[in-house]
Amino acid sequence: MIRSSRGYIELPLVFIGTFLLLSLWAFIKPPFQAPDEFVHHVKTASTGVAASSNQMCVPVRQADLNPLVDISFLHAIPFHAENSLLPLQLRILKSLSWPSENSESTLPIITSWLTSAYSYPYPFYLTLNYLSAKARAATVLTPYQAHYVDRLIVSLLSALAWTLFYALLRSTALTYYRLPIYIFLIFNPVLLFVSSSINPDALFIPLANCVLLLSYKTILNYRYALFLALGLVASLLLKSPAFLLLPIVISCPAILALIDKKDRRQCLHSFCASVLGCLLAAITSYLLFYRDNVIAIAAPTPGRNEDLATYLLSLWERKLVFFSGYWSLLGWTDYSMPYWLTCSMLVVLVITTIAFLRTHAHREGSIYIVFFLAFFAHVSLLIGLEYHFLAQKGYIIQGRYFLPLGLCLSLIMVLGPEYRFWRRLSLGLIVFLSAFMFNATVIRYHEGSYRRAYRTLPFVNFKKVSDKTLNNPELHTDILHCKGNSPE
Amino acid sequence: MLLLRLIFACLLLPLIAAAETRTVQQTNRHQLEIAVELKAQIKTLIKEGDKVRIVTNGKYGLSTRSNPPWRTDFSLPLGGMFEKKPEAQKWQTFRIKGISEQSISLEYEYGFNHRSADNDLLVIDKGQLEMPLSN
Repeated sequence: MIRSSRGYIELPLVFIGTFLLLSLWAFIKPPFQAPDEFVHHVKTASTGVAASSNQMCVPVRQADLNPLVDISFLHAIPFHAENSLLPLQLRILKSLSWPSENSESTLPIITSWLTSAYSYPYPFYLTLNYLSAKARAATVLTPYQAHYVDRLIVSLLSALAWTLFYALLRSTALTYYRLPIYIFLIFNPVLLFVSSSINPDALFIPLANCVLLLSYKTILNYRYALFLALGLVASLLLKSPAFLLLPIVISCPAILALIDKKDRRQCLHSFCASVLGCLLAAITSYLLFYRDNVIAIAAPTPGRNEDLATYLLSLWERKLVFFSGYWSLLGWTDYSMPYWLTCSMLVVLVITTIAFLRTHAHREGSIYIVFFLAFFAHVSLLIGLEYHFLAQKGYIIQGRYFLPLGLCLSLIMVLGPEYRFWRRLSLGLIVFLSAFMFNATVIRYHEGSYRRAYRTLPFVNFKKVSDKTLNNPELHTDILHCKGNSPE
Repeated sequence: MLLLRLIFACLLLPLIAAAETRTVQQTNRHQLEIAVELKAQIKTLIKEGDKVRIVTNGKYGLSTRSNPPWRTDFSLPLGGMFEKKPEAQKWQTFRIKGISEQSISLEYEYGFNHRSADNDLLVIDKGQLEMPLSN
């Protein structure tokens, strides 16, 4: 097979470009300001013990825990858009050093932080723990610098996973549209915000999109079922919510078999192959992890007792939260795009969806309708789950939960428009949104000052604060002293 | 056809509610930051009778309707106000609350308009600080 020289440099360029983009977003936000980053860090620090003990909750060695976790003002920033990172606070963060005494002492698990993240599988946390320890052993890093090194490691892994996705995209019939599809996915500000922080989503989102592509390839050729199973195992060993992918992967070829009378035989083959792939993935992940571990679902909001009609009405009321949450709800769901930008994105999405359905929905149309079905199935599953757990967990759906199915929306927005001009306009809008939200992040955390944002970079010099300031009890939470927490 | 789609899409616009302004009041949150900057920017701070004469490097000053040019050398009585040159999204105003032989006490108001937030967030921080008089 002859491949142009451009083909060989394309993947390295995609990798470098993605890594640079993620690094930019990794540096712009202060420590622990991405969703659940505190919890994921503690889980990473405790993983060395947890992996060998088959327990959900294990103690953390104080020496493994970054002391930034204990700083009270960092806990006051999430959910409070009015609280930015002040210059003195930055100096305090940069002045902190690793604990020298009691380094071998262990801390009981912080029960108030027990979220579903504690029940996620180990591979992501073990990898990060290992690479982070290597980086700390190789160079002298302050806790502040070590936190950003952790974020860079995650960004690197995420960039690798996205490059794999791009390579897969190149091997399908979608190759002609690969760049616009990729741009639509990767320039999503929420995706960039989350993927450049300590969070398994950084790997899970690209892998889930790879699974979608592999499912599409399995529909065309059932021999890809083995690769589909591998992709599913990888996803299931990153996050337990990956189980939602199984019914999606099975239902798409099934629905296609029902609506496509012409190639029903092939559809049935691919349906059987998908079922086998899912079974293989489920059994493998069960034997490797889930047999000995508990799956927990977080309860971010109080439970609600609502009948179906009230619940459906609440979905309608929350429509814009989902919509802006998918594109631009940054921080700990505390900062999002303005309404005029929400309107623009909504108009583009509606127009492209109508155009997409007009082109691809009829019987002789293309197989790409399967991506629309997959997204529809994902939304239905999330709604069903939320309603099922409503009394215990309350409203749990966030806009970013649709990111693993981002490929479907990207395809709709790229394949929908009939005119190149319209497609370019949509692409321009998503790149503009990304730049706009980057600036909004500087406003959110650094009061709009790029000079202040520059000073937060881990290698920029600073004036050290006194030990008296660092030892001020008000500066510290009771996390490391474990007041009010019972050891598990 | 494109026009029809545009019209259909525009029908969705009324679904979007108008932005609400949310004001958050804070106390002394920016006190230290402002005190450090103000100290660095004030060249002269001396007592002249019952007034205070302030000379700044240019960032802080006074501009009144009757005397519009930005003044960086001015005298203020008790209760007099000066400000920081307003920036795009934030402002600072100061009111002289007390004058003693050693220092003056100031009340400050710091405002920051987030604008890009979905609910047009406005943060107002009020507090007090002491500025020592020049020798």
